[in-house]
Amino acid sequence: MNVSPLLRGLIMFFPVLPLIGNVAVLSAKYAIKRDISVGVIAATIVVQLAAGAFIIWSFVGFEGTYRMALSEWDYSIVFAFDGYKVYFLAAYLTPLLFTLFRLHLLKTQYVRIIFLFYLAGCSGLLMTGDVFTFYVFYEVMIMAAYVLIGVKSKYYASIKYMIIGASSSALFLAGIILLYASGSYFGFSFVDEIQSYSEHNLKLVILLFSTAFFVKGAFFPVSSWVSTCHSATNSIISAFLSAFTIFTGIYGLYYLVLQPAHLLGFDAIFDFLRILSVLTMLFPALFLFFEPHLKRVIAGTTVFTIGFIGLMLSYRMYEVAFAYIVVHGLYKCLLFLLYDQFEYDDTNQDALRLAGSWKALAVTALGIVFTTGFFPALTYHLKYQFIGQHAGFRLIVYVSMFLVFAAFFKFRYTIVKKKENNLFYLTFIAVFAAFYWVFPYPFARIGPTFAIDLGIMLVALFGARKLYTLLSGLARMDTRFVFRNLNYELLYLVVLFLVEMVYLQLVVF
Amino acid sequence: MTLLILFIGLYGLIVSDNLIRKIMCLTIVQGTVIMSFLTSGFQINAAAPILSVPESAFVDPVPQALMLTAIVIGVCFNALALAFVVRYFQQHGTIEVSEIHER
Repeated sequence: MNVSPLLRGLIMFFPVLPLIGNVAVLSAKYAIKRDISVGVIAATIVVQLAAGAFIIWSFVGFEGTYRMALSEWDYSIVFAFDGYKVYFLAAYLTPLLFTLFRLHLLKTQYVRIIFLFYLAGCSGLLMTGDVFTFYVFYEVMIMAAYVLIGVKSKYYASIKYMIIGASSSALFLAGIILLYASGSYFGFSFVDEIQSYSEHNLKLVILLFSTAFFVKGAFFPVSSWVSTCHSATNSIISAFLSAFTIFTGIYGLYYLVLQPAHLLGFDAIFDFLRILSVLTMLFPALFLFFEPHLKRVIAGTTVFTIGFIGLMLSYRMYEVAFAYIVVHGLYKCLLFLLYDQFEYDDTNQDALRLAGSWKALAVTALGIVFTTGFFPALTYHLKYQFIGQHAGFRLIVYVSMFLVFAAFFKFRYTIVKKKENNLFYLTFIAVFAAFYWVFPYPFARIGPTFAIDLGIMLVALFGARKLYTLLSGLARMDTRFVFRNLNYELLYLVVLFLVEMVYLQLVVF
Repeated sequence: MTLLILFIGLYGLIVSDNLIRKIMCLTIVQGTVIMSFLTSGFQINAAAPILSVPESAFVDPVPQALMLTAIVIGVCFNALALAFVVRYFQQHGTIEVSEIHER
């Protein structure tokens, strides 16, 4: 592709912009003793939004990959962009736009400096075209995220994120080593670049990369850290983590696992992803149902979405999956920012005593429509194409949907005179039914699927709270001592690696 | 030997209840990974190609250059993790995983 010098410059300098901002902030701090960090962040965001929009506009519908190496050396840093990266760039720009209106949440100069480093890591990750630079930018991003998670003094969430993140990075680094030992360069299309072709080694690389990205992307069974870590910080950072950072796992999975596996004809990885995605929809939905903290529910629904996206990827429906990531980014930002407007104590929430306002109701409504996969409508209708192929999958998806509905419906809000009523929910279901009835074209989907969806929703509406009260003792035992224990999560990581190794019939040692 | 050290690190990472021990074990795992990369480019009696390429056999410089980056990242991770553990201890008086309640 022939790109203009302007576009080439933008791709190269996109990750550098936040770093230039940091140099300016630190120079002003020590040279003229002034804090210019708020202005610099605002300027950086505006410039990145403009540059990002231009890059998206230039690459929409583009087929192939534009590559730009910084030198002639075989292991040079490579920048690359293609039509699919457009979606990830849009997912990055969405929380960035919201940040512009919530800059006051980044309270101190130090937090703002770290936030700029975080932006540099995210931007670099989007523009990189080689495996090692991917690793470096990922670490820059995640290292800054560790600090940003700790800004509200919830240090354990940060420590947990660090240990899980570093464990997966060690696997990723091991994959890079094996890639190098196989005689390959570090380009994203390393299957094409391999010098001394060893299919077995490449499959091992894919095994190591895939386990690393399954953990980074919060696939089952290493997924319960998401609700703890993503909800611990302020709404802007939570939105960024949920809308973009966690999906870098999907980004890596696509470029460094699924694409090479497709080129190698290594289809077993797609089958494994399918099974894992279905489990990722079911078990995290179960944890969500038992979760009494609303912000953790919002954060935890990301995992359900990841399962949904993983399922689409396993059927090679890449474009739809990536489009869903962008939509998810948008509504997750909305949910977190609405949550931010609540008036009650952030540290002591209880599903059965939660009192709120129309904002809390709006969170529930948005949460139900979006997080259970009803929007975008295209994805919703496509869902029946892939879950319809397997009765077991269909059952699991229905159970998961019920649990996510119930996770939101179990909250009861006292609006007028402290009396609970279901009018709001019933109105919402009526609106949903009307929407479903006319989209994508009028009367298109009157049939059993409509009846099942509506039935699940109604059962969740009237049964969720009773079920929650009945099983809450069981929930405490399960979620606190088994699934939320760091030792168990690290054990699950090793188990995931071993199970995948057995499933793919690969021997590592 | 590398595998043995890796297993020790992994075992400690999973079963340790103390957060500082966990971080130490994670460092051992990362160190093992880095060491295995460095040994992939190592040759006995070979020189390092610094500034000019030696006439005799020389070690592969690519793993060394790359692992330098990984080591820096590892050091940053350790510093940050230990700082958070200290802060957590100041807040709650414990760093035992079994005593930490996430709520």
